[in-house]
Amino acid sequence: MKGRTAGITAATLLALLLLSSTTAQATPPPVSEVSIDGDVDLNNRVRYAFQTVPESVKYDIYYSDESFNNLSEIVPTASSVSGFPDAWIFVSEDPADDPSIQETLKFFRCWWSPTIIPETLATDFQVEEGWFEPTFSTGMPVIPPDATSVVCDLPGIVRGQEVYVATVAIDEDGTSVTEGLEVLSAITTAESERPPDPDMTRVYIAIGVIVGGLSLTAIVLYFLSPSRRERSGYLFVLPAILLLATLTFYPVGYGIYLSFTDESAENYGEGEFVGLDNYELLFSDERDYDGDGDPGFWRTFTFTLIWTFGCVIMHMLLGVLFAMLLESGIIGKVAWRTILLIPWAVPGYISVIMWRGMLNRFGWVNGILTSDIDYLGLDSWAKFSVIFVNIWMGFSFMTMTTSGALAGIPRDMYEAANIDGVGRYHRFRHLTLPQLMPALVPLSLLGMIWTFNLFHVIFLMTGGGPDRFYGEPGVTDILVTFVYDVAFIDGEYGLGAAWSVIIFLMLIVFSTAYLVVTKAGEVDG
Amino acid sequence: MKENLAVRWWTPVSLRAVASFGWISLMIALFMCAVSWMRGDESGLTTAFMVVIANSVIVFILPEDVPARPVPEKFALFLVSGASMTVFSLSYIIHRADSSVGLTLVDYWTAAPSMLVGAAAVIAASRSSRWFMGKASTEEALNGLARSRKHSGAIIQTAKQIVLIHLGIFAILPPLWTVMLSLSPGNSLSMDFSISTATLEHYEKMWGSERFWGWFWNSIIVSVATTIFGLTIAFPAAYGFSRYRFYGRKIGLFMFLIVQMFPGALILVPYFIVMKGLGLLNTYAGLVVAYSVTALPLCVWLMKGFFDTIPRELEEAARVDGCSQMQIFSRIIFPLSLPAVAVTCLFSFLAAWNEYLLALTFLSDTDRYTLPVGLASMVSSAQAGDSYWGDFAAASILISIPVVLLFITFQRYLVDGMVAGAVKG
Amino acid sequence: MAEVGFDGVWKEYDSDSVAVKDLTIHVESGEFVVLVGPSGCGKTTSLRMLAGLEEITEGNISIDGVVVNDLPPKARGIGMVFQSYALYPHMNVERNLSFGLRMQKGAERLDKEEIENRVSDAAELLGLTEYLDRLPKNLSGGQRQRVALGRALVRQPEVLLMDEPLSNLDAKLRNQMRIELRRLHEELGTTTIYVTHDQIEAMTLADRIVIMNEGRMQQFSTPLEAYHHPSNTFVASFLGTPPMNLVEGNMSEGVFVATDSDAGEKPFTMKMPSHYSSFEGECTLGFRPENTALKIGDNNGNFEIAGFESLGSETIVHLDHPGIRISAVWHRPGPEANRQIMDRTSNVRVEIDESDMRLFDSEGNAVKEV
Repeated sequence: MKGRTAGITAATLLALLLLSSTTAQATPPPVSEVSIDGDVDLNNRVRYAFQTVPESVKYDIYYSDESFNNLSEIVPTASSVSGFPDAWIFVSEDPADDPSIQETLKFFRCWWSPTIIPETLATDFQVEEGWFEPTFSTGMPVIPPDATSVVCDLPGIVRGQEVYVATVAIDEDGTSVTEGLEVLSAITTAESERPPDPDMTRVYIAIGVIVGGLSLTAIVLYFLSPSRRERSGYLFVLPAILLLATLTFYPVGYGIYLSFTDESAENYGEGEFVGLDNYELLFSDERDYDGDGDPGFWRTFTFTLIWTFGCVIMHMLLGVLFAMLLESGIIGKVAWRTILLIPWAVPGYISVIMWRGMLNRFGWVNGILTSDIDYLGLDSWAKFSVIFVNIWMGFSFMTMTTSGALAGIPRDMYEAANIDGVGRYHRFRHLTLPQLMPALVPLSLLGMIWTFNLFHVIFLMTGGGPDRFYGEPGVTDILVTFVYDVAFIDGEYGLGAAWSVIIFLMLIVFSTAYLVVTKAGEVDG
Repeated sequence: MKENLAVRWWTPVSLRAVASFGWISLMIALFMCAVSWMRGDESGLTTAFMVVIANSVIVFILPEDVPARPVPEKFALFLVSGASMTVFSLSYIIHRADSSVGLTLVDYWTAAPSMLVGAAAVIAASRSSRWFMGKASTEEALNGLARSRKHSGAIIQTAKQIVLIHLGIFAILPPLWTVMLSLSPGNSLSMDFSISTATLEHYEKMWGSERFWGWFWNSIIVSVATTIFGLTIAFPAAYGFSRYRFYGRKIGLFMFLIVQMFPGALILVPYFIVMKGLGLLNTYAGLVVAYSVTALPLCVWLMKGFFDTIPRELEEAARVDGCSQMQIFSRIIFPLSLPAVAVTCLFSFLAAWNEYLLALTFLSDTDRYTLPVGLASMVSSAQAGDSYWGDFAAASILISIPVVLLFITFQRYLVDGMVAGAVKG
Repeated sequence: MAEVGFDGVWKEYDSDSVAVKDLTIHVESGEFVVLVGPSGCGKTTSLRMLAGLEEITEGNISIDGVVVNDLPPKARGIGMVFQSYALYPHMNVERNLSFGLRMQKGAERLDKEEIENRVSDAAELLGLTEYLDRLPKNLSGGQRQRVALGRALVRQPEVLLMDEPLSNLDAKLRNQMRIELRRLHEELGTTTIYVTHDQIEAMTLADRIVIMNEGRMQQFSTPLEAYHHPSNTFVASFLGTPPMNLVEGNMSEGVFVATDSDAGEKPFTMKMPSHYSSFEGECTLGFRPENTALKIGDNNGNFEIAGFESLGSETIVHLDHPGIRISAVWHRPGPEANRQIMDRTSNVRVEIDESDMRLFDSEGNAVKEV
């Protein structure tokens, strides 16, 4: 099948695993203890297999960091929040019929088989003959009633912790059925993005060439330099240039080279030159998994634009507004500035995770507003939340810098305007704004470039999700987060590199256009 | 000068005040609409919408100066809108009180401003009826102007402070929640915070957690090393660019500028491979080098800019006195450029301390994890796993406090540095 | 054109710092009045209170009979030229001039033609027509100053306020602009309140001057009046270069005897004219250097030449009597006199015409001529 599975074949470190299963005659339900240790993939997944029970319509899977002693402890108040399982699989003949599917769930992968019952799971479990992927109805995996066993990758396992997993089968009446349900095995998938040790000589040579070449150039220039005094500059500057070249320019160059190969985690170190194949693939139908005519690129691109402009425009608007407020003669200016500094001061990853907690369906925001909205799980809301959080994180920086710029505007100009009787709005538009432009333009450009490639907010907030369809970008995926998925989860290094080059080109074009337009604007104004 | 000059330039201060506060209540009324919509409360939404309309009338309809002719229609509109605002807000409150959830803090906060401003509008308008009719006398106008002069300062200041309070709450909401979460018993996301049940259990747990301190020390080592290493490389480079004019100088500077545009996520795989080639994966050194490179352009630009302002004559005098280059560095350049160096160090340190992506990619041993990766792994990507929230909150606070304090102490330098960097870049 | 009145105006910042104390003056319509004094005397503060840029602590300011204390600046019908010009840096000259006019709304709105006319008139008046599309940074100091002036004038103000407009210009330009301003005033006839610390500007430009010191008005009169009949020693020493000679002493029976005289038996005395003769007691004698005649080599003279400054057209001679130092201005001394001056001869007698003598009481106020 696809290269997806290829990622699984990456080298792994096996984790210790304790497995106990009891036949489910009566409660307690079958529970497997799995301890995840060592090298776990970035999505912290556990591969899990269980035997199905006839007559069930749904399988709920729960995780906990404490042992499940009694099923009633779990349902409905499982380790996850208030009765919601961490994963579930539906059983139905015709998945399109199922009306109860309204919720969304963190996407995970599974396979079912009507014939095979695996005894153990190898880490390189392949979807071979006899295994099928379920159909997906709005993101829910649905398997037919004649499946005998299920293998799934459970997401959301915490590294370095013991985890207990429980499966509960639910029948038509809504009661739990565990008789006949057997946990077969569980293992960490440990999809490591770390490739095996390939032939490193290529890299050594390249680095050697760069370092040697630059040093040589520097030496030559040194001796050729007309001025004995000025040439010392080479000595001072060389270390920094070397570092920069080796660790920035070379990787970029290498990335560009990669984009023309079919390098991936499978054939690591053996990638061959394939020309523009990767670029074609980006836009081709081959990657259009959900059949909407768009291989994922345009959707992600659109949202990236919305994300970038939405965030930066609001940043600047709020920044200027609040800076003007701060500079307009208020009591306790220093205190207010300090308070407004906090969103910028708090480390980014902490802010994101905190907002994630607050915007959770059962989090604080819903509590205070007494509403019940899944901010991170519904499509439009997820987009809004992600942008909102980034705005929160960034406006204070804009406020501070604009504040500094405002302080540099001569005051007597405003007095003259006062005498002329110029109103507040016009004062801002014709006097303040033009004076701010020299600072705002580069700031906004920097902001846009930075936001365009901002990784950690979306990654830690929604992971790019909610994921609707496997292989397609999630709803809040921007270009860089999806590139990350392609390159590290799917292990398609060449393809990922091609994505990156495209993004880079876009940025260059955009920056140039932006600078041209604003410089032109300056001349006119 | 005309005799009715005073009249021409006078707007009753009460009306002006109503209009100013009206902006604030308008924003809040819009929020009222949003909240109703999010709750799925349709009739509440309708009521809120009416409030917004009435409020908008008040804010936009006020004539800037004395009306050139009597405007009874504006007077009536003003009164009616004010009254409507109050009435609708009140009905909103009553409606919410009846609902299953009952009245919450948010309801009071969204409805109160409109009620108050509406009532104030009615009062202010009725007291200024003559003004609307253009019938104010000169004496009234003079008194009014005097009153404006006296009070408008306080009124505007109050309005500004109200806005600032809202802004402040917006800014500290998540940290506030985090603090509350960290003090609540249990590890679940849905917390129940109250003073009586506040507990320090999470702090104790994190404080006593070896894992946590492991991450902490890793971060300290990496960040301090980054600062020192970065400074060691950037300082001479900045000096070289500043003091010497050699062939390729412009190109070199340009390289530094361009590099700012390469985003980290893009070059992750090749970066990774290079690091692997150099044997620097999963080591402190690897991260230190990577972070230094990331911070290098900014540091060089900042320090170079500063060096440019130090007059060369100082160094020349020192050289005449027989100082070596190192001595010039340590005795002249370094002390004089302390502010720039301090900012550079701060930036480098914080960049390393807060960085997530590279650490995530390069580190595989859990005991090598720096704080960001370690912390993030506590929560991972579980949709609503309630396992570690309390501990996580406590850890977050422990980490954030030093950083925030650093920021606050050096805020001025940071801002100046960024502005200088941005404007030059 | 409007009259301007200050009535008991005080400006206090904190209880400790009072900038303007009890200022009361009345400016006639069309008059050019200069507020002059050393820095910190309160002249700029007074101007700014008139403009509406500072709050008035006590008292009233009125324009054209209307008390304007609480009116905003735009309502007062004034135009102001700032010391730093305060031009809009990102707008060219034409826009700088027209900006305020274009921003008027409501009853004050002006149509485009009117604005254009005013701008071109002002530009012509001030010689700015060629520079209309230049930015301020491309203008010389003098040109910028004229733009600032133009901006004030296009408002067709009732009262024109100027805050040390010439102080940023070099000496030659300053002289030129002084003449320009005078010409403008004659042409436009706008009531003008002008602030400066330069007494030459005050003397040459003003119809009347207000001399201020430490927040208080010292004298309000025509320049010549203030020059020839200063109302106190401050005014006396402020106006005129070199300043008026002031000698402290005592009046008794119509004779002035200087104190501080280490001359022992031969103090500096002066017989006072009849209109001062009735004054008794401590006083200060004042006489201007240009009214001081020198008789060199006179045995009755006790003055010694201490130094001199030769300016070409005149020579300033500094004379010492034990304990007293005065100056005299000698117009075009002949070669003989020059030699005597350079020889630093002593025995110089000082002669002052009676009408040039001024007397000030122990508090420094001028003694009334009887």
